[in-house]
Amino acid sequence: MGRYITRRLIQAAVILVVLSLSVFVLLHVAPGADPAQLRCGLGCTDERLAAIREDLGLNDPLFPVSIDITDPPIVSFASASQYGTWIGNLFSGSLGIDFNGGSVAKQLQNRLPVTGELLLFTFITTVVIGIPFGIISAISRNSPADYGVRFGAILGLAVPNFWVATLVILIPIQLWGYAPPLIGSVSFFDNPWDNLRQFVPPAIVLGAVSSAGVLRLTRSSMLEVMRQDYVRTARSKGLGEWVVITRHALKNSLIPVVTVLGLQLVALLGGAVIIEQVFNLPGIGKYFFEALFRKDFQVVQTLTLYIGVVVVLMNLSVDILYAWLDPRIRYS
Amino acid sequence: MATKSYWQRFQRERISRRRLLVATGAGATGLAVVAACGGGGDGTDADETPGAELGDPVRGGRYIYSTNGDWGTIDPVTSVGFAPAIFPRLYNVLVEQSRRDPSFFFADLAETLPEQVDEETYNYTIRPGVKIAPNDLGIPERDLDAFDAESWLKRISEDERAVHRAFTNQWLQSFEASDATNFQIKTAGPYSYFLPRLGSPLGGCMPPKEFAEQEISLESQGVGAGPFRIQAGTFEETGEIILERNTNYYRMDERTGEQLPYVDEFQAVRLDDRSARRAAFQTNQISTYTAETADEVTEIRAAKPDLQVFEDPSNTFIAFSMNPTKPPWDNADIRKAAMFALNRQDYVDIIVGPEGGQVNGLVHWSLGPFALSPEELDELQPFDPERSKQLIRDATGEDTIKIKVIYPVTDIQFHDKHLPIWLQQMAAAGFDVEEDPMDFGTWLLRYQNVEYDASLALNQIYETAEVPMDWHSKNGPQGGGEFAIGIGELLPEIEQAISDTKAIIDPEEQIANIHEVQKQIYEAGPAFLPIMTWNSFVLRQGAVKNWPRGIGASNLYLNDWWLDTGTA
Repeated sequence: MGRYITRRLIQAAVILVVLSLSVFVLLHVAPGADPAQLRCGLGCTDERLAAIREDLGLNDPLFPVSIDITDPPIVSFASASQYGTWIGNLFSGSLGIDFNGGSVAKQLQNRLPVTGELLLFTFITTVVIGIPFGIISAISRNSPADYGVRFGAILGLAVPNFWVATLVILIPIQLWGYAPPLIGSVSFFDNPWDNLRQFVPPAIVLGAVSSAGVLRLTRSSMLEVMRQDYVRTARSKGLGEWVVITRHALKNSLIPVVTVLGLQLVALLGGAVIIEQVFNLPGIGKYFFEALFRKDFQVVQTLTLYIGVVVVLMNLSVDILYAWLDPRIRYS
Repeated sequence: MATKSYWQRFQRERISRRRLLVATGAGATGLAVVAACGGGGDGTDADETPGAELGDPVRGGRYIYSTNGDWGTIDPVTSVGFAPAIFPRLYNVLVEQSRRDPSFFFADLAETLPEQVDEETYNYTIRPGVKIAPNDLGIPERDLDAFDAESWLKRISEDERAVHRAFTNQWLQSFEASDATNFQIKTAGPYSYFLPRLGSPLGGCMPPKEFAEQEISLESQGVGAGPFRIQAGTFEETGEIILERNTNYYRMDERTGEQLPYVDEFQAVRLDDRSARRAAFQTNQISTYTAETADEVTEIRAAKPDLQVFEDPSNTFIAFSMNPTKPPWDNADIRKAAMFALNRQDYVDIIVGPEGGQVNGLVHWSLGPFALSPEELDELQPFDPERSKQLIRDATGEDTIKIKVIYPVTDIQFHDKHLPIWLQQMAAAGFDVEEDPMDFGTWLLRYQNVEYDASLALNQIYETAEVPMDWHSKNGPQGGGEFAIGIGELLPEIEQAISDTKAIIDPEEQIANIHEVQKQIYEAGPAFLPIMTWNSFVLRQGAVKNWPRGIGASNLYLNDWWLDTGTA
């Protein structure tokens, strides 16, 4: 197992290097305004533009190594490069400076708890709704309850979450004059009640979509497991249906669900970009959204890579979890 | 007609002299307000007079408003967009004149209106005791003086990013502080927009001279002698800030003798999502909200009967901007074809409803007498797609013409609602539109640098006829060729006519002249077409007391309002 984890960590490092290069190159070749010009604004002079480019490091070559395709090719090395500076900042922990002149690391430090709490509640919502209802749907197959649950799941998948988010704000305000706290972020430790009021509605909105997917997968996986011989054997031994489901079927049916749950968490990070915007939560998603529109390379690159790290670690965790769920799985 | 009803309402809402004196708090430090026009009761009845039913002012509380866009920086000399709404809370102007009600003046750093020696010379006497707020920027807590005003104008004339650069470059001959109390400005000729320019929140607010002398950047910090100061560490370029009371503020409330402002804090928060803004307002999380339509006001009022509605024409609009130096827009007939393609009433009806706004001519209708009448507009700019097609056929020999148009992807100023109507109308009139949508920042940059053939564009708030006319000048609205090249580039007589309108001091004569120049531009085929201007419905919580009415953006300077519950 140890060797397997080591090998996966090495693979993860390679993936992250490739990801960092891809993100960096794609952002720099994407169409749109020059970030220095955006920053320079109205009445921009050549001198000011040059100063901003220098400040942002945009005059440095993109990579520390460049190759001129001549005959023979000329390889040149630069002591300072944009990619090198970015990666250097990542390793130093400073993560660079955003367009506001603030530290990206400090912004992440302030915003991570907000997004973390949102994702935690969303994950809980996903599990609490998705798995039990998936099981109910499977064990009462083709019953009205099954149809109802499946209809709800399809609805959850079909309706865009930003629209649901808008409804979640507008309907209570119209019916009861109620809205969650929308200004700033309320710490759980300062005011637990207001904190829950602030985070639970967006978590339910985000969780509605992800739980729909989990629900459908749990149902199909459960149905498949219920057809297995060992389940039939358990029933023929005279075990009660509840015992058959919880002891014999559930654990095995959860293996694919766990995989999806891990990936869902990553997808939720993407969903959080819009949901944080709608509910005005000052998290990483909102920061990412604003950075995208300003072409704030430092922030977008760093956050994309950060999401990449989460994906890689999540996949690794899921694979390790497999071994616990299914002892037949062994890694060599 | 909606025009009549608006201006009738406007007349009813004009504030009385008494209102002026109360609202601006002339007090212990000397009379602060000059009412240029005599002004006894002009229709404001006793019940509407602030103070009559409001009770005693309450000190304390935090007023919260929301923005839905980036501020960029908070440098009062250069920043545009949302930030100017806070500059009058932080800094000072010499004298501000309301564009909505020209009889209203707010004398701030200058004790009164300037003494005019002749049509080009303005002498200001600086008010003593206008003291800079406590701060940790190393700016001394001293009185502002004439040298601060001199430093401010010097920076504007030297900084190419300055909002008022067109003014200083074209119209300012000299400015000089002879001592701490006396400041003189000489213009290069008679200039009718002098007072509105110098008092505008957009570029008219002056920072203390130390910022220029010590080259301290004002982009993310600042301090002045205005009613508030920035609470340390609260500024975010995305549009959030907390201001706190300036304990050195010079102004007192005339009625109570208390120092202004009454509220302790003034906060701006960023709330991009419209439904979130509305919900925040309805649940008292923010103090003010701008409704889209009268119907929305009715809906919200049903849940909040005590809310206050401040209805004003917005003085802003979406426009179609063409670059007349590039084909096909260098052809007057094609520009006219675009003009006849627009059924502006459709935009009014679909976006805000027939009572929610009005179609615009070259000068938007909300500038009242400066705009052409609806009857004249019907004649000069009729909706006539068949004529558009004929003009296209005559010019090209084809039934359609291909055009490239950039535009931002945004819902600011109803842009997203204008776009589909515009595309449909242009297609129906023979224009084959190649769309080039882009993010707001990229669009703004290209628009600013005139890197476009044509653009469907957002605009600032224009409270005088000067900038709407300048869109047709070769130097554009900023005066340095930014944003647009008007047909003045092609037609020197139009360029001269636009410039001449600014030198006419007599209001009646100026209005007649601006009408005449608009007709000339129509005849030549305008390259900038405002579409429609809507009414703005600003709602405030019932707890906000004594908020000034009837003076437009001048309300930003007044601080004798209060929150009767301490929170609103």
